[in-house]
Amino acid sequence: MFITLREFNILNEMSNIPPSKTGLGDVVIWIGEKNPRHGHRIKVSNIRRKGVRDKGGDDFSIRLNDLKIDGICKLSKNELNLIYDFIKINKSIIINYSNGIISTFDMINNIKRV
Amino acid sequence: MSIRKYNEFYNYKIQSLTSIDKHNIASISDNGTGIEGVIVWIGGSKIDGNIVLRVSNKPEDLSGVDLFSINVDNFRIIGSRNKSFITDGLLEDIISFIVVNKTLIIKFTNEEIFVDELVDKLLPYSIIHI
Repeated sequence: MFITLREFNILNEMSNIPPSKTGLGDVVIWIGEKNPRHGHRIKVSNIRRKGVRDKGGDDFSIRLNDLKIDGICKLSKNELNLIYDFIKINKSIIINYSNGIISTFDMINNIKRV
Repeated sequence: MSIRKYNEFYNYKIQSLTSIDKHNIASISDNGTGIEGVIVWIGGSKIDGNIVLRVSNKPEDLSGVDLFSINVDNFRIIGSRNKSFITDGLLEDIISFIVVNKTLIIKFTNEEIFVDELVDKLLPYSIIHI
């Protein structure tokens, strides 16, 4: 299957957002542009207090449309519920960023903490 | 595949944001740059070991398809600048933006700070020149 130039460009773009911005305790999340295959989602690190230089590793994804988890979540139920709340209050901003409508700068400035 | 076609792909890879480039890249709209219509990207891979600022060749274009880069140390341009949009005057404004924010650009590119610190501390051109 061929992918378009635009789709090629947006694969795997992610901005890691620290807890200080999200209010998610010590959990780091990634918000990225929409993946043509997976749709809108955020990625969540299972590693607490993950540093800015830490790459990949132990994480899972949450789809925005149905809050379904892809991968293995090692966080507590309370932590997961907090992430669901974060998604609910920031869903439109995340989708706008994922669709390339707003910049990282505007996404970060408009995101709401839980 | 002809050599010419290979070179076209090679040039595309240099001047566009590839999937690898886009990791840890922050797109900054004109709210952040303070320069009307100008989108820049901070972070991502270095070019020949040099930290660069990537600039869109089209106004308010976040796609990252058509852009050029500026070396933040010597302001050398890598790639093709669309001079009908990025005029010499606009280029000077962008360079002023780089000069004032150089430390932040370097720290973010070297992954010493998260994106929120970059966004919070960036000084737009419009503030620099009040």
